[in-house]
This record gives sequence, C-alpha cells and structure tokens, in this order.
Amino acid sequence: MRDAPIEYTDVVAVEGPLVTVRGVRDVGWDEAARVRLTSGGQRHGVVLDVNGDVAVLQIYEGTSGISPTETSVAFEGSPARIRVSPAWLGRVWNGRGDPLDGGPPVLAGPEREVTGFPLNPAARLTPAEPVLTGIAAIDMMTTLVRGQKLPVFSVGGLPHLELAAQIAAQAHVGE
Amino acid sequence: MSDDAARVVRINGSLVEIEALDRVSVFDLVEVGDLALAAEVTAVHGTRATAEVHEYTGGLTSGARARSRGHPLSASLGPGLLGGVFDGLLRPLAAAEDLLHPGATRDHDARRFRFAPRVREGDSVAPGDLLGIVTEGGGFEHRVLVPPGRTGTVGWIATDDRFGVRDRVAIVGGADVSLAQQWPIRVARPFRARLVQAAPLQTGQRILDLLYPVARGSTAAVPGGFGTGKTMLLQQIAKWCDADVIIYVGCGERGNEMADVLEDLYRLEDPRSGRPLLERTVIIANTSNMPMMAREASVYTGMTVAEYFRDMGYEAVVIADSTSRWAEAIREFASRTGELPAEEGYPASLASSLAAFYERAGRVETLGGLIGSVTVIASTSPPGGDFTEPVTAHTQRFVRTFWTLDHDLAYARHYPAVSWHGSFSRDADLLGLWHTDHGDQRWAQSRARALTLLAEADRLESLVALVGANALPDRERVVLLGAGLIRDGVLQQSALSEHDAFCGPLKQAALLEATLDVYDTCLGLLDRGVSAAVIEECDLRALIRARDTVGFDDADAVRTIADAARRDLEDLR
Repeated sequence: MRDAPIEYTDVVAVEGPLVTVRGVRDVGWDEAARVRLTSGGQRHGVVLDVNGDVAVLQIYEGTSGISPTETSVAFEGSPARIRVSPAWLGRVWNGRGDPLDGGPPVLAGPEREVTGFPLNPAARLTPAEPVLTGIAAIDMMTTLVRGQKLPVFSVGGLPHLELAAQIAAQAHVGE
Repeated sequence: MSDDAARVVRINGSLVEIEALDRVSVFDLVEVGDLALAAEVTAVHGTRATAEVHEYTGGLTSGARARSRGHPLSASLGPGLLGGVFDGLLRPLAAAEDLLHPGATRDHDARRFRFAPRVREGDSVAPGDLLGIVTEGGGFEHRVLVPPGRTGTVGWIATDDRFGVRDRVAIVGGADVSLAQQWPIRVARPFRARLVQAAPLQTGQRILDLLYPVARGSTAAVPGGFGTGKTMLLQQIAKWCDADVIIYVGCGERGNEMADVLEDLYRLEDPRSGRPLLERTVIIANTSNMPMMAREASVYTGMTVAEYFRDMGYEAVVIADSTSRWAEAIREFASRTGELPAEEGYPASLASSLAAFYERAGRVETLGGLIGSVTVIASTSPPGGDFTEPVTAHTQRFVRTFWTLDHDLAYARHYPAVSWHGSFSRDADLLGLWHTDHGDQRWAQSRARALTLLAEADRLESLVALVGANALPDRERVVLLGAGLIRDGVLQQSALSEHDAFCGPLKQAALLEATLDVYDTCLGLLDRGVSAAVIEECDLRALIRARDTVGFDDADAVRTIADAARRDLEDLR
C-alpha cells in the first residue's frame, strides 16, 4: 500500500480545463492527479507543466464548479497506470478505465503505464498474417494484416460506425 | 567539475529547464533525473539552461539532479556500425530490451574487432591518414584514420590483435586514438575540397536513372501524398543503389516498415558482391512512438555516420524517411519554448535547418586525399498531398533532384509512381556529359526524346478523352503508342520481380534506346503509307515484357527482342 498522498490546497488559478496549484513537492511531469471538491465529488487530471513548486494540471472532466478555495489536489506519484487482466473482457469502461456498467473495478493483475513504451524496432517481426473480417471488399482488396493498423476514412453521414462494429464482431482473432 | 547544485526546475514534456549548471554551453549533453536521461541544451539565460530531452520525461520532478557531460551530443563512430540497428542517438537497439524504457538504452558494444596496423611507430601522420584496418562482415574494409585536428608522430601503434571499440589502438601527437571516435552530430566533419565533376548514383530504378538522375554527393527529395509509395521507393533505392554504405534513417515512420526493411536487407543479396545487403547498411530507427526529440537528432546522427564513411573514401547514401516528421519534431519543441510560429506553426528557422541539413551532402576530397561522397535522398510527407506546405516547398529549393510521386499513377498501379511532368533533376546536364565521356553517346539524347514524347502524349491524352483515339491523325496515334511503350516497357518497374526489381545501367539504356528505335520504325512505316490502325495491331508485348523477362543487366537480350519486334513491324503492309 502507498502512503496516503499529500493533499495540496493552494490552488492559485482555474482557467479553461487548467488548474494551477502551488507549493507542490516531488511532482513529476505527466503524473496523474485527483482533484477533490469540498462540495463533494472528485475529478481527475494530468500534470502538463511543472515549474519549481507550481504544477499545471489538465482536468479531464472539465473545471466547471471548481473553486480555488474549496479544492484540494492529490498526486498519484506516477504517470497514469491501470491494472491489466482478462477481467476487462466483456465489460464497458470509460477512457480512464473506470467501469461504466455498474460492475466492480479491476483490482488484481499487474499495473501497467497507460502511455506504454515504444516497442524496439529491432525486436519487431514483419506482419504477415491476415485478419479475416468476413467483409469481402476488405479481405480481398485491402487485406487487414495482424499487427498493422488501418484507419477507416470516412465523412459525416457514412456508416463508418456500422462498418467498424461489423469488423469488431466478425474479425478472426487469436485465442 | 562539480554539478552537485544543478537541479531541474521546470518540466514541460521534452522541454526541461535546469538551474546552476556549471560552465554549460549550447548543444552540450546533459543528463537529467535518476535515470540519467540524455538531454541537449538549446538555450542559456543567466544561470538557467533550457534543454530538450531525448527520452520520455514522465515522472521527472522539479528538483531532480542534472549533470553536464561537458561536451556536445556526440555519436560514437567505429567498427560495428554496419549491419546494426540504432536509435536516434546511435545507441544499439539489438542489445536493448523489447520495450524501450526511458534511460535503459545504453551506448555499449562489447564486441571485439581485429585491428591490422598500417603505420609504424615514428611515422609522421596528419588528419585523415590511415592508421590501420578492421575487416568487417562481408570483407568491408573499415579504415581507422587519424581524427580531424590531430597531427604528429605515431608514438605507439597496436599490434595485429582484437580490440573493443573504446580500446586505444594508437598514440598520435601524444594523445590516444581509440577504435571508435566521438564526433558531435550537429557539426559537419571536415574535408579538403568539394569536387565538381559529377558521377551518377545508379539507383537501379529506370525512371530515376534515365530521366531524373541523381549525382553522387547530390541531394534528392521524394515528396508524395499518403499511399503513393514513398517508403517503397526509398527501400528499393536502399536495397539496390550502387553505393558502398547506406544509412537508412527511419524518422518518425512506422515500426512495421522498419521491421520489413530489416528483414528484406537480411534476406537479399547485393547483386554486385553476393553478400547480404544488410552488411553495407546502417539503420537508424526512430519510429513514430519513440521519443520526439531523438527524432530531431536522428537525421544529424545519420548524416554524421555517412560523413564518417565518406572520410574513409566510400560512397555513402543517407536515406531519410521522412523529413516531414523531423520538421514536426522541430515544430513541437519550438512551440514548447514559445518560439514565434511562422508558416503552419513551424519556427522561422525551418528553412535554414533544412538548408543546413542538405548542405552536408557532397562529393569531396577527404583530409586523407581520398574521394568520397555523401548523397542524401529524403522523403517529405505533405499533409493532404499539398506540395505548397512549408517542408516540401523549402525542400524543393534546396535539393538538386526532385522526384514527385503522383497520386493518379499510384492508383493506376503504375510503379514507381514518379511523375514525369512534376519531377526535375538539376544534375541531368552534367550527368549527360558523364555518360558521353563514359561511352554512352545516346544517353542525353534519349532522355530528351523520351521526355518530349511523354509530354506530347500527355497533351494528346486530354484530347483523346474528348474525341477518342480514332479521331486523331495517324502520326498522333503513333505518338500515343510510343509513349505507351515507354511508360509500360521502360518506366514501370516491378519491385517484386526477380529481374526487374533492380535494373542495371546497360539494360536501362538498352530498353530506352530499343523502345525509341521501335517508335522510329513505326514513324517510318507511316511514311511508307502503313496506317496507324495496322501498326497498333502489331503485337509488341514481348518488348513491353522485356524488362521482366531478361536478366538484370542483360542489354543484348533486350536488343534481340527489340530487333524481332522491328522485323515484325517492317513486315506490315
């Protein structure tokens, strides 16, 4: 267990999505933070800039209702991490990995940095295996290759979401 | 030097500000944080230095330690570079882990190389003189030279033995010379004189060598919108061009493409030496998710490595894919430092940065009196295919040769999709003289005729779209036929074909000349009263397929096929 983090209350500015807090110590760039409102409720943020003892945070949920005098900020000690495990499968999550389906969060499994680390180019294998999507135009003409990434270019009004959902539903994946 | 007081005070992504660094100068290498992340000083204001960090700075705190290394960011140049894969700071990736954690990649090569001395103790030597030779994989002669700025007598020279890259192999003028030398990547290595005589770099791609050639020591740019085959063309050049050393800088491009090029180079043989192509290649990989600022450094690192081999008297080629990603790294950092944005947010210094990069190319007499060259071939990726965007527009001013990739050709499956009306080569006239001097009297003339024919056909094509080919006069119909033969039989090339992926210079010239001869024969038939409709019926497919059916440099076989085609034509009534 980590020690309970220090809560900083010297919020000097709130502007757009940014919250500036003063008097911080040992706060790293890109570190995750939680902002607690005295009125109740919690927001999440990330450190965009550290200058001496001043840190600038971007708040994911927006800053509406945040007052400099009634807010405290606690830093998590590292860039955002999540626990990874097969328990993620079959569930619905928000962008930060909190459950949206009323189920429990993932509590077991190794922690991993959300930003990830670059894969060593010398350690890569050439992608060569097709991912069969069951959509003839893709499989025959513009085959999806395992390990590659192919965006679906679209404009408003076209059924890109249906196509993406169809690929997700039908694509041939490993065990 | 004591740097105990130096502390990081500000972190904003790849930008850090450091207080109280001792005797720091711009472009000095600084290590920051517990992980000793490599950073480079870009500005100094009073006691505060601004630096760009070449690794991910997540978790770096205000108050972290910093230490100046007291020298600029340098590349370690020595045996072991060929056949290797390195990051933007020239740290070997083969020895690194599968996931690149910040601070974990170390500049370390434990291999030992056999050094054979070529001087004796007491000899007087000057910069660029040969001290000894290391024979690398494939018999490559790696020449260990007296470093620039070092003159004197050889106080001691190692005997024939195996050494690590950091080991001392000689003492010159009282100072040690190790197998590997350090050289600051942003400083061009010195040479004695630039040479003016041009010699062609044979890329093995016909449209390039025949119509838009690049000279050794010159510069070429390949702009191309998304999906037009930039990377494919550059990889083909990396594989087949007749240079001694290729430095392939994968700059902000996809990691899977690097894996692809690595595998190909390992598998393919050099048609000249019969050895794996990898043995003449240095790969510098800074893929799109590797640290942004190391990408900014990677093109300079690649250039420095090329100059190092140039100084040994070799023909080196730097292939940079893509300079747009490099420019984006410059833009990202400039916006963090608050520099005034100019065109499309790039800093005002973009043009001079590009110019300075291309200016390091050249064919020179080295300090040791050898002839060597650095040729630069770089791609730009104009967003939306807009060639007026700053990186492409400035690049066009600075390069000698410009190979425009055409969207329509690419989607018509015409490979390489190099446009014959949007490209140029400022070296073509000089290289025409070179071909004349080297026994090919027809090269310049054939090039001019082919370009004229293609331009005329392009003009006619728009007419044909309106009125149909049958409505054209006979002579114009034969022009279309001739241009079609050049497009399909000469300019198109299959990267997947054993005989056609790479085309030798003799076969190239023979194909173009044979096609022009066949075209002349058709014009002659018109004069004899044969109608264009009859000529169009003649089966010339063997000629079009000749590029694929005959060996990679078999000019005689091309001529035999063309002669047969001309006999068939002569029989027409």
